[in-house]
Amino acid sequence: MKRSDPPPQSDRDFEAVLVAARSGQGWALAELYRALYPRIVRYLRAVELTETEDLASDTWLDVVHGLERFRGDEAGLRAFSFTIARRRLLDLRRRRSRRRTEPRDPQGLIKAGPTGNVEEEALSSLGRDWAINLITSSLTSEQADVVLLRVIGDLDVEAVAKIVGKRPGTVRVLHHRALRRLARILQREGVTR
Amino acid sequence: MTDWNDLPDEMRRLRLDKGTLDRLLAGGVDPDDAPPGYSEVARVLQAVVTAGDHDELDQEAAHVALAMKLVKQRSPASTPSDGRSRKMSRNRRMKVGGLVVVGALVGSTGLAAAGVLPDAAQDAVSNVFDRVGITIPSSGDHPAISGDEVSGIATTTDATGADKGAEISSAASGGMSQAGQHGSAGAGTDVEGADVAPVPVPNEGGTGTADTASDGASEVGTSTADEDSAGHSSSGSENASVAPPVPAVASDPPVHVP
Repeated sequence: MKRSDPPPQSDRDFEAVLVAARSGQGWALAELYRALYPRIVRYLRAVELTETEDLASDTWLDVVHGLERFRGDEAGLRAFSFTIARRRLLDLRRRRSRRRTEPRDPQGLIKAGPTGNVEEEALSSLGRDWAINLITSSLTSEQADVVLLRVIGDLDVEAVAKIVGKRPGTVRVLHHRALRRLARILQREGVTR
Repeated sequence: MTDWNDLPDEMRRLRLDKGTLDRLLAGGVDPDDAPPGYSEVARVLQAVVTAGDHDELDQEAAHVALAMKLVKQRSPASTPSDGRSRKMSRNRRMKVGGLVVVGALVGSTGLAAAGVLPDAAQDAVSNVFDRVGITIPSSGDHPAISGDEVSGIATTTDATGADKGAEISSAASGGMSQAGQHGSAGAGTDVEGADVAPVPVPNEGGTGTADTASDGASEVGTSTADEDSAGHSSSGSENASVAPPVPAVASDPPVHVP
């Protein structure tokens, strides 16, 4: 077996993948990519309308660059990646706030608009994009952020709290309020229709 | 139709315990098993966690290749497989830092001992070393003695010529002056020895010259002086034939005595 060949699936654990990725082995980096990148892109698309591909690419390269100093398990690496993604996002927003004009993707504007007949849409196509748009358009940005980090990032309350710079108790309250609000909106739409 | 007082009931109905909240957020609650009012929420959250589109992995090959290049660009020494290189560089940093600290301590102590630091720094170093029993002069400690003492030495010393000058300047500078140690005083043509004042010694020819110049009037002055001084003035004439004790001129520039 060549050195660059991946070990059999059964022998592969996270630590082995991490060590191989640090030494630049393609199979290990691809495995980490498949585990992290789709989640990062999905989160960024949910909270940001433009430049998400660039943000995600930069985040991935930052993650690779940071593998050397990373210590922890798989969930820890997810938290590490989302921390970088969110910082990149905040940097972009800060830069944009200094610009006089803000380019927006018209397709994104349509997607982020009113959700229309919620019950109908919910029954006919409970697609992922619809669900994410419902969350981002119905909740406050703070509530949507902690819910999406928790759900898309598959992170626990402590990790989310660390990423957004709040206490775990505060994040729990935000989660609770967010779900209650979603429940009320969905119920109300269902009753009035 | 709902009434305004239906709200508390609705709020109570939508209350969630911590475990259910966690399971809902993890997408682990089936909509049919969700608590009352949360079945649609469970459906929405499940939809969010479903597998992504294929386009999310469109750039996998390019991104992985870029990542491989990034890792390979790092030098082998920085590979953290055993943490050795990192430890070595930390050790090296500590050594360099230690050397800088030791150098600064030795250098500043030497300067402080010489008393050449600025006043504030000199006082600070002096205070610190005083506490550990080492005497370092403070900014107020001048090595020279007082002006009165220097003056006393100048008037009472038995030394003459360059020796006297050297003694005075040495006392005034606290031993730092090198007056009298370099060069010779020998400007006088009739005097041998470097430690004799470089002043030409008057010769006896001066008296004859004075007589000639004054047409003998100087004799009158001499006798008048003899009479007025009851013979004491003659000793002055005799003394005139030998070199008077003239203060030496030091080869170093004059030392300022505070």
